[in-house]
Amino acid sequence: MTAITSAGPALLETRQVRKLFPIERGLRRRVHGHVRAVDGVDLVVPRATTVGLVGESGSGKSTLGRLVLRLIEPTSGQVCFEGNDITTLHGRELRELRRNFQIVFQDPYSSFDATATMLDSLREPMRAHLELDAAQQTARAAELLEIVGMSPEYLTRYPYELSGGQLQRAGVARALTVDPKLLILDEPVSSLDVSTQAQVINLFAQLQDRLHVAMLFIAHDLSIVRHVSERIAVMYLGRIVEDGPAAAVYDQPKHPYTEALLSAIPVPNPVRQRERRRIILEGDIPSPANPPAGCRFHTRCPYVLDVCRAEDPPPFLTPDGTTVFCHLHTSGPQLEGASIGDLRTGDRSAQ
Amino acid sequence: MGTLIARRLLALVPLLVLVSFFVFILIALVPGDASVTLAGGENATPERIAEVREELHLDESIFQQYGRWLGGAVQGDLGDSLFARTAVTSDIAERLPITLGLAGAALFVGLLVGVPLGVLSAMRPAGAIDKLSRFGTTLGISIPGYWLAIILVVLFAVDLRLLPPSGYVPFFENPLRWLEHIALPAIALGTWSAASLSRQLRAALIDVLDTNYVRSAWAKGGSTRLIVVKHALKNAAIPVVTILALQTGYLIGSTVIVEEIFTIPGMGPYFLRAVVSFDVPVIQGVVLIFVLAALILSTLADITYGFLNPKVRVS
Amino acid sequence: MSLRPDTTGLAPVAAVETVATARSTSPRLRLVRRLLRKRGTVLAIAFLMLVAIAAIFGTAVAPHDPNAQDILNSNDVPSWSHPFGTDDLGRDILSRLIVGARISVRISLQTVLLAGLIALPIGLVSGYIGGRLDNLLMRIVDAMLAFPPLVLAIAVAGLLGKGVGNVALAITIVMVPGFARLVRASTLAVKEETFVEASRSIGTRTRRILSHRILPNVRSPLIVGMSLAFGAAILAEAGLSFLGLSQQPPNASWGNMLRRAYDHSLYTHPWQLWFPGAVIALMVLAYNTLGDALRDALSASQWVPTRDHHRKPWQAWNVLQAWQQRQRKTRRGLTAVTRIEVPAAPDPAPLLAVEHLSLEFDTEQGRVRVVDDVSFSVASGEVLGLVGESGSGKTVTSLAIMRLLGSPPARIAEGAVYFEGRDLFALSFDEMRAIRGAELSMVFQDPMTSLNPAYTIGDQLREALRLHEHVDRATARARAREMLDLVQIPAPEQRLHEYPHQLSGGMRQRVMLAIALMCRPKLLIADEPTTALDVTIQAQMLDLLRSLQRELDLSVIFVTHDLGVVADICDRVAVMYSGQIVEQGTVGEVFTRPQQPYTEGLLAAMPQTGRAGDALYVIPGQVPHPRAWPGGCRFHPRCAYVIDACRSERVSLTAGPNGAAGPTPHDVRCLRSGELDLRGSQ
Ligand SMILES: Nc1ncnc2c1ncn2[C@@H]1O[C@H](COP(=O)(O)OP(=O)(O)OP(=O)(O)O)[C@@H](O)[C@H]1O
Ligand SMILES: Nc1ncnc2c1ncn2[C@@H]1O[C@H](COP(=O)(O)OP(=O)(O)OP(=O)(O)O)[C@@H](O)[C@H]1O
Ligand code: SF4
Ligand code: SF4
Ligand SMILES: [Mg+2]
Ligand SMILES: [Mg+2]
Repeated sequence: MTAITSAGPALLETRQVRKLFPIERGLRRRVHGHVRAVDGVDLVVPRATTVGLVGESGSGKSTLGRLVLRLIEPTSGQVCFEGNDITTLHGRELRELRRNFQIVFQDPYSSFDATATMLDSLREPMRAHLELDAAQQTARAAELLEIVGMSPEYLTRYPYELSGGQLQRAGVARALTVDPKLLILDEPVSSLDVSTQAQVINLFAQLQDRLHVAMLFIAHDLSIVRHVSERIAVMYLGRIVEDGPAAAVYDQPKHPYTEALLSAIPVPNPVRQRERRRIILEGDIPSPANPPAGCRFHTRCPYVLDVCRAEDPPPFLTPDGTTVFCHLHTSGPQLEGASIGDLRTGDRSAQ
Repeated sequence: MGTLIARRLLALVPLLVLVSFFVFILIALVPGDASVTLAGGENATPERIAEVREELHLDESIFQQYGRWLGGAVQGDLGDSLFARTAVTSDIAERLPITLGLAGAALFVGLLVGVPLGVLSAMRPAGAIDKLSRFGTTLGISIPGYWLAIILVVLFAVDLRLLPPSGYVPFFENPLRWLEHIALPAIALGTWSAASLSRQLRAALIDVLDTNYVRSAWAKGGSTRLIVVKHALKNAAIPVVTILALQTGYLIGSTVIVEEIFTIPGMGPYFLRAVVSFDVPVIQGVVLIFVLAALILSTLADITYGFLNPKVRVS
Repeated sequence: MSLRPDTTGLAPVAAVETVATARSTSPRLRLVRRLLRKRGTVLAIAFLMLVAIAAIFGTAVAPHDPNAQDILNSNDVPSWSHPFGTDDLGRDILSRLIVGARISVRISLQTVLLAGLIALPIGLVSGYIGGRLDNLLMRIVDAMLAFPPLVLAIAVAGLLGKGVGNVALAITIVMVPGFARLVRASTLAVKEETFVEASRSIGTRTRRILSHRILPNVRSPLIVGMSLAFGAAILAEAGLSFLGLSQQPPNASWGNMLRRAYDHSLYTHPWQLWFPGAVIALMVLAYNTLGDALRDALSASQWVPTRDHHRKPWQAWNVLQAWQQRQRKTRRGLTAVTRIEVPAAPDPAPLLAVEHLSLEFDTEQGRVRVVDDVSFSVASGEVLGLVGESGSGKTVTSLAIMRLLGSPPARIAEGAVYFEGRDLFALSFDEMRAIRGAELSMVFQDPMTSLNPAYTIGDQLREALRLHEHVDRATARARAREMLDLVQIPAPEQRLHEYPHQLSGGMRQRVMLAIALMCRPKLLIADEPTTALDVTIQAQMLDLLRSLQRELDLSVIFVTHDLGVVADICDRVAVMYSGQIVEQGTVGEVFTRPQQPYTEGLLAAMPQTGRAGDALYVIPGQVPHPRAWPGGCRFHPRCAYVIDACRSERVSLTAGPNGAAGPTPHDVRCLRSGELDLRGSQ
């Protein structure tokens, strides 16, 4: 149903992956329900493409990233890499597979061992996957730092001697050591300042041009993701609600949640910002331990229909290649793939 | 809250089984064949050895022996002393209140000195009071309790003749005389207690006083008293209570030497006599009681913890 | 008397130091430096070395044969030939102490090292592998921990039989479970760290992760725990020795010397009791001091007192007075003021005027200035945005206005804050208290930790009111309910009885706002009130703030790093960089026609601006640490328009070209503001 027209299997494909974390309570640790962190996600990352994954906290982005990396086991569903199901791999096979995908984490400080130098940390993937002697390892580490725009003198430094932005770039260098085919970037710029953020975002754009590596760029900010992604997937409460080409999602959102998310990001221009139509969603994000039935967004959706409370919205493929999960496109006013902005709404959206 | 208490008590059961087993297998530590040693060492007659084996059921498997001992213990029968031939349970019943009284008095001293000291030094870290108290408390946890006890005896009993150097008068016989006799040992034990409590409380309070919610309370216009007494102490108490219970359990154990020095007829001298003479049933009984006391205290602490911490209480 | 490590105050290991420093020294070297800075630690190390010499050389350094009796010279008081006197058998006390040292040193080293060595693999495996094995091991460890250590040691040593070896064994057994717990707890903490997950995702083998990632990070808490256990081991050995279970007479140990003195000289020669006891106490004291110092040195978060660099105590004419002054200045909850001059209040006086504020911190590396000559004002009913990147000094500036930074380490070095014409820096603690929360309120960044977890929402709301107004409980409750209504919290009656942990982040931030507005303040300082929230919740919060601000005619200082939020809610904006204001004016002016290169860069680097596919504008380099602020214009190493003069000349905040002419002031800190044509946001 996701229209990817490249030849051969996609680099990464998840098929209805699900991850439920048990909630244990009581003396005997009986399971009292589950946190439905990721609840049936189909996601495709084609070769050498960047896919942005956005959603608010608790929507299951990191969990999906970890599932793809096999850092945690899916409750059900499959993760396929180059067409092969990797959900059943273990031990040596899994370790060897890991050189194909690497991850960069949100907090640069905690993703490096404070007791190890940069060189030591950069050598770790080489030890695991490459057969290089010590001199070659050092040379490779220096080369990697160059790639991410850092001087090799940082090799002897400890993590706390680097700034957040530098350390995040070193994290990218570490991930690139073994020439992975896929980089998972879990909110790699969220903890950085505006000026450093821009440096790192640009670095990703360059890397993609130079190294043709595919990336799954996780973020909670749509405006960041659009700078680096070809496709954008929007997640809400463990499910993908909209998935399509970046420009289409950003400029013509098809899902009410995407629209609200975009409207909530203020632009740094007082005139434009004050003129914008605001969509203020009511209420909090429901708990993933107890998600609403039907469309998960119905408790906050300004356009909610009766059918939304009862039935899961089916996927709908729009002409511009976006898959959207919303009843508005199939029943009700029949948007049929038009942007949600085209929908004339009364007072409800203005609150 | 009710389920919390029930849960704590239930969790105690497997722990008790394990603990009692450890207490029991203390007998396995006796070098060589325990029966030889118990029957009088090298020059024990074979008859006497056989007799001891029979008497202690050493010919049975260790688990059978444990079952027998535990069965008795549950019914309040800890066996008889090998030498005095008296029932261990009644011996302990006689002595335990004395020891608990001493430990309670020591704890009182500890709280009385330790809490204010901890609060005062946390208020101004690196201030004059803090510097003094940090030195004092480091010294307090470094001085051996029995040495302090002896020094106190030399000063107050031998030199100044203010208090009796040793002996004991039961509380119900004459509370005042009881206090006279218990004062020095309680101070000797309480010093360590106060020092370590004050250090823990200081650390916990400093952490709490640096939290965002304390800053919020200052921002509201709260007074120092309100901040410390209402906002900080309750939260700082959460970790301290747990440690306090643990330490009190240990404190009861530490009465052993001090009772010996002051010749207080509590568990200490009874236990030490037994250790020197390999009186295994007595050793097992006393150790079991000490462990039980420690376990009860830590369970109480867990319950208090739940009471102080709404995250546990209201969920 | 505690044979178990005391683990309070151990910092999470990976957070040992997060402050970026320019110097590159190995962690080990820095640790040693930190350790040696305190006089007590140096003394402790010296004493331990002395005892070590006694222990190693024993009789060789003893002035007399420790076991030689000399009845004629028994109970001699200290003299030249017997510096510590002789005991009841005429044996030289000093010599006996020297040979006794060997036992104490041996026992402490042997038991602690052995127990650590046994506990390490147990704790590591139990913590890292988890599951059933962990469950089983920890049950056993818990059971062993239930035994009072001294009682267990006496029982074990007694049953094994008298002698030093058995005592060592007993003490080791007692120590193992405590260490195992410590290692396991640290392992669990380290295991959750992202860098371990990184290693797993790299494909590193479990064995290597354990030995190269977990172990080095578990090591320091274990070392601290062990160093604090040395003292306990000595106390235990001496105690068992005192009871006659360890070293047997006539051979000396500190404990049995104390026992002999107690038995034979208590009434006749009590001075003999001092030496062995004092040596034990000193030895334990030295170990504990060293252990404490290690712990402090390993947790950098602790504030470490530094010497006053400007005014040395011996230069002050009266040391006592200087000391008293310092005591008065140390206070939690009120920032100390050490200014010399008091800047005049502006005329006419706005609601709030910050005049030439400079703020300093006393840190381990000396005094640092983090806010430098900041001036701004807030008019009645105005919303001022304070923006800047992390570390630019926004939070400390707002805390300084409320005087909420504790002293030490903070101090207001210069400036004044006039609130309705009153100089806040001249107020006493009680005067300041009366203003805080009543006329001047604050909302903090982190809603998750800013409410007291131990009290209900209702309690915390009522408290805010009753601190300033004498109202009865019923009124207070009604007002609290009203406030919750005002900040649009659903089901307010029910929320009053709930604890903070039962509320979502957005709800907690609303509660914080309700508390701040409880007494209807004139000025609200909101320090990044929406940063921790999700964007859709942030939009709700901004909406709420905007309507409340209009409704209550509130003045607001809105601290944020998001220029979009400023564009949304603020009337005027002050841009901070490296502790200074670099540009301020109306939001419209500053954002559409910035006059300062940093403002331009910030606007251009925002991801909301620019077209997808184009590279984002980048400000090269990074924000410098306050200790490394460059001279001249602080922005010059990163500025695209830098000229030579920028590197050396002091740049001050002056009225910008269009500010001077326009109706509202627009101040700029840049040498070239007149000649540059900078781009604003589109
Ligand atoms: N190990 C775990 N055990 C139990 N619940 C978990 C675990 N990891 C994640 N969760 C829960 O799963 C849900 C999704 O979490 P996840 O970290 O994937 O969200 P996210 O989209 O990455 O959010 P954020 O933006 O906060 O990083 C959350 O409700 C979280 O509490
Ligand atoms: N207690 C302290 N001791 C020493 N330095 C401190 C202390 N508190 C803050 N600083 C320093 O003061 C400077 C300004 O910090 P501040 O918290 O005001 O920054 P900020 O602009 O609020 O940044 P952020 O966006 O990260 O909140 C920083 O360099 C910080 O390291
Ligand atoms: S399915 Fe219904 S509730 Fe869900 S987003 Fe669409 S309109 Fe809103
Ligand atoms: S003074 Fe010079 S370095 Fe500073 S901002 Fe202006 S042009 Fe740039
Ligand atoms: Mg995440
Ligand atoms: Mg801040």
